[in-house]
Amino acid sequence: MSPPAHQDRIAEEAWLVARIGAGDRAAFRDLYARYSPPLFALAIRMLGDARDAEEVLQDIFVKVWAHAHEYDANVSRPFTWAMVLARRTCIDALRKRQRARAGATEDTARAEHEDTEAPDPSAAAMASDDRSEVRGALDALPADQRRVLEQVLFAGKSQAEVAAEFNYPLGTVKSWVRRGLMTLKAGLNREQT
Amino acid sequence: MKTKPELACAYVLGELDDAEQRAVEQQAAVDPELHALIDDYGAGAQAALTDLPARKPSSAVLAQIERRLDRPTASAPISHPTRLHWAALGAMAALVVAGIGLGTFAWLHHGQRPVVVLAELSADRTDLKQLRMEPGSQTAAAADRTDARFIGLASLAERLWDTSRHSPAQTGGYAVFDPSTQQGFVAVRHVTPTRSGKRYHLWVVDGKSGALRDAGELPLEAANHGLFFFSLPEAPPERGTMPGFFITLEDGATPRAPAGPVVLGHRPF
Repeated sequence: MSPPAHQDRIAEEAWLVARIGAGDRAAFRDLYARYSPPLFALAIRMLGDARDAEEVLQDIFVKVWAHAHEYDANVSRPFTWAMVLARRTCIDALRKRQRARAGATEDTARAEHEDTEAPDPSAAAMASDDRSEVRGALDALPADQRRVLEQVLFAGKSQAEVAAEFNYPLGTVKSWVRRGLMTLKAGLNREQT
Repeated sequence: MKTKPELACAYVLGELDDAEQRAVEQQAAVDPELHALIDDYGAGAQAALTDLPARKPSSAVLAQIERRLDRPTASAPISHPTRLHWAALGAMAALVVAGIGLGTFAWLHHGQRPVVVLAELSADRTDLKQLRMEPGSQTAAAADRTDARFIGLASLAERLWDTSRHSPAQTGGYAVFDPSTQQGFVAVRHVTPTRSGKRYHLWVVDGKSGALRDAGELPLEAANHGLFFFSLPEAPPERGTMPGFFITLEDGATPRAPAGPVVLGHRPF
């Protein structure tokens, strides 16, 4: 069971999304302040470039504004809803980029990953504790599972693409990904208790 | 055919196309098992984000987003009802009612569809901000327990009261209302303290007939904020209609009809 502070945050964020759905710009700014750092980090990791990530971040939050009224917490937590929206937007951007670069030798997002902006010290400090637990959980995974999980989570590849690339059965990849997500969740829970 | 765990995982990873995503959302809204799986995998993916180096976008990004929202083509979500989940409301309430022993966050259940009306009140009264809340199926068993409904309603009102402390210092408020029991709470903040003889008065407008119903005086005294309970005489609620709320500033004795200026409301009058 999640601790009260965690539940409190989920409830507050659900309330913010509801207010955004009703056209409340102040609530939108509040949610942006909460969600933009992690979603920006996700976009940088998936796209490999901070400038592209900022453009995609704009698209993500325009979608948050436009679709907030559709949010239904019967389906997911507010952050999960925003994260799914962000991942889909990043995947779309990656596919668009791949189409634009078709025929060229593609330098992968990993090679471009070193961007120029300095990390935000306060945000980094806030995240450091969680990261130690989550990193520990991630490191505890077998190397194959960890590699598959990272490819799926951060390289914008589908489970089927990763299965084909590494020559693993698709069912195995799916199983590893699900197990990996549950392991990460457990790591986060340990941190929060 | 995908299993539920596969569907939930693919949903969280953003692998589904639009139609598949909608189908999963529709199913998860009525399937606690699928909802729980999405919750678990979503939490796992969220945890993975905490492992990334924390980054903050440049301050110009928010301004650029807001410019895009202000363009005429940007979507304006105002007229859409927004659904909150029972779990979210329950989480709000649970913080307040912990220890009371309310196993289920029970709300009204009138007709086929339980509803709590939550209306945001603003001073300009031109901005419709009305939220409809729909509980999950777990509330059905306790839906007829009036006492539980009242506790849940009170808890939500109180929780929102705490949350709204962080709102900008401007005149506003909200009303939460249970059409099934005709009970509700109204909260106001940053209203002008009344002078001698003046009273703030709450009115509820029937969503279908437009008839006005007197919900009583707000005993603010010299304060500029407060959270108050109100109860209307029993009347058969009109299914599918949303009531309106507004507050007027009246002279002296209890008025039979609103005569003073409207101070807060959620629709133009």
